[in-house]
Amino acid sequence: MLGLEVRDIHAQYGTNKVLNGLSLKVDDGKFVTLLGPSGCGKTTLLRVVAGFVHPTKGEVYVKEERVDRDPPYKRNIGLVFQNYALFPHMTAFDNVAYGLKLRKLSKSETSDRVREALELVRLSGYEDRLPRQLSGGEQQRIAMARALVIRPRILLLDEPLSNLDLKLRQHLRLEIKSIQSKTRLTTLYVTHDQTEGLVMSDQVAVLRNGVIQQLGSPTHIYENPANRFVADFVGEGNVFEGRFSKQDDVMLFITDDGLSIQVSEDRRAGAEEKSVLYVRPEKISIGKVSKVNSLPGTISQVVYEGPTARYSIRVGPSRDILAVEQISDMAALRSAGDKVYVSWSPDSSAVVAS
Amino acid sequence: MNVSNVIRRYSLVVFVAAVGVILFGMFFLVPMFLLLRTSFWQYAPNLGSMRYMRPAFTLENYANVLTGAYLDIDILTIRIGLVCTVAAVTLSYPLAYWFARYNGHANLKRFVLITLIASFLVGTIARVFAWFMMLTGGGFVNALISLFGLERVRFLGTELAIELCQVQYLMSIATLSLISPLKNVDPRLEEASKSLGAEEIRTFLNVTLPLSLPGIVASSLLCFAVSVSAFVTPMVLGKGAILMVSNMVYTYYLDISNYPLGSAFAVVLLLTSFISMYVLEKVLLSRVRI
Repeated sequence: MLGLEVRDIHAQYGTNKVLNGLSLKVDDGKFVTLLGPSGCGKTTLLRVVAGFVHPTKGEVYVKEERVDRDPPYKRNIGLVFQNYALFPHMTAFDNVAYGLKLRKLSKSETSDRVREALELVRLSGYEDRLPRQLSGGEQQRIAMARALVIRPRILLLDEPLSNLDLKLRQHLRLEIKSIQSKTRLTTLYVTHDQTEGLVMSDQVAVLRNGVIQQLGSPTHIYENPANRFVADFVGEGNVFEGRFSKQDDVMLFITDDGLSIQVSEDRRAGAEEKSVLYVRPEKISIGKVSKVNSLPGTISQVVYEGPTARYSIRVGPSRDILAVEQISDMAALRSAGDKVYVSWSPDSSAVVAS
Repeated sequence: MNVSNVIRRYSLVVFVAAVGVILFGMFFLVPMFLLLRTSFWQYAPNLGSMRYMRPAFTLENYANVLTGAYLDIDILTIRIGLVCTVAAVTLSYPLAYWFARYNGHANLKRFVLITLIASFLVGTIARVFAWFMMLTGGGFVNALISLFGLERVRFLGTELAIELCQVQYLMSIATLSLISPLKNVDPRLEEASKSLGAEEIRTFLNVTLPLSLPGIVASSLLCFAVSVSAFVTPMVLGKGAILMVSNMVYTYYLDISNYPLGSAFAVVLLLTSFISMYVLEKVLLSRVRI
């Protein structure tokens, strides 16, 4: 069964068209992240599903039931906002109980379910606190509990972690993921943070200008980006423009600036002769001696980042290759001016549409 | 940072603030104190040489103000104040809600806003006499009424005339003062309420209204303080038949030169505003934890 389906959604604010015929299918129980820069339409799509933005065209199905003509309060969708949106005049208990009171549940059942929800987000004992007496992370967990306690058909999260500091964000990512796995709720998660997208999701949809650029598992998106935009958005990398040429049974990629790179047949499969190679910096290894498929260069810049170091390596007259190495031992830290060879496996070059 | 710099900067602030504090004290607190003191003195019309009172402590003035016919005037004043406040805030709330909560209608909003500000800025005399013309026997309102074949209504000299004019004026104050508290209610809270299953009216009652209550209280206090101290409006539209506390202050000060009794009326007027402020703050706001 599909947990959520949007079909050919068109939406606009005034004359500003944000979504132009976007379609997306989410299998029941899956965690899907909408990833993209601000203004790409990801929040608009979420608000269309929630019912706060009326699409000019298109359909929304929740559990294969059409909902786009229903007002938000009839959709039974759990919603978590970036700024938490807890009711400031209600205690944590009343915030979580809000949806249950509207559903006219008995007092005892209400308090049982509120207790259960607070346990799920590990905030038992916080019932009587007002939102202003809670930290940002606690507020966000109460907001999760409030959205989950109504047993929604799907859960929508709109950049729920972006107001929190890094440590808390890393922690809550895993917590949200584990709550989602426990509840098996179909979840749509909006973020501009590519790490969040990669860490939490079953599927990631990368959006740009209201169009899904690529939909796939986090590893697929990272290892086989469909185009330059996706490749750049979910990470960084070295770009080589050129054409394929087969020489003595070896698949080579000859870049426009004259470098010759060996690429595996699998990677080549289906690509045009004139293509773009994309190589992630952590795939590149730096060595002192020449190997097969290696390029000689000079380290031009060193950025020490604690666990890793980033090197710019000048190869040929005008190309800098970015490589990231783990610093397992301080003796391994290289310095600018070192003569080195860079190489990477023929399997590590992703072929992207330019 | 250098210590002497801190002192220099800090003392400049203190100096500038002190000027304000001293001026405020001299021109507000001192007259207020004199008024309060006078209200406890004795009226003495026959002292001569322009002196009409004796500095002897008495509660007689308050006894006068708070009993008999004068008590009726106090009650009438408070009643007009309450009616005007409730009417003005109730009528203004939806208007302010529209301003704060709906996008669009930009031109209409600008027009309404200019009208409100103009109405706030038009002087009392102009407004009151404009209403006088509206409400006379052959005025606009009676012309409308007779269009429907109804009997003419006598407005001038009634409480209703005063209230109509006051409410119109207070609406500009109430609307302008309610817009910003309503804007401060995060629209996401209303969306959260709806997503949890509350339709529009329920969302309004559960979220928007309680969260805008401090604004309603502040706006009501403003309206009440303005309307109980009305002076020109009852004088003109009440045509001498309706007297409010301000009119008594005027009469006792300027017609009779009984400063102590006039002062007692003025103090009662002030206390009415202060007490209503206290009651609204304590009773209403304590129910909402914000």
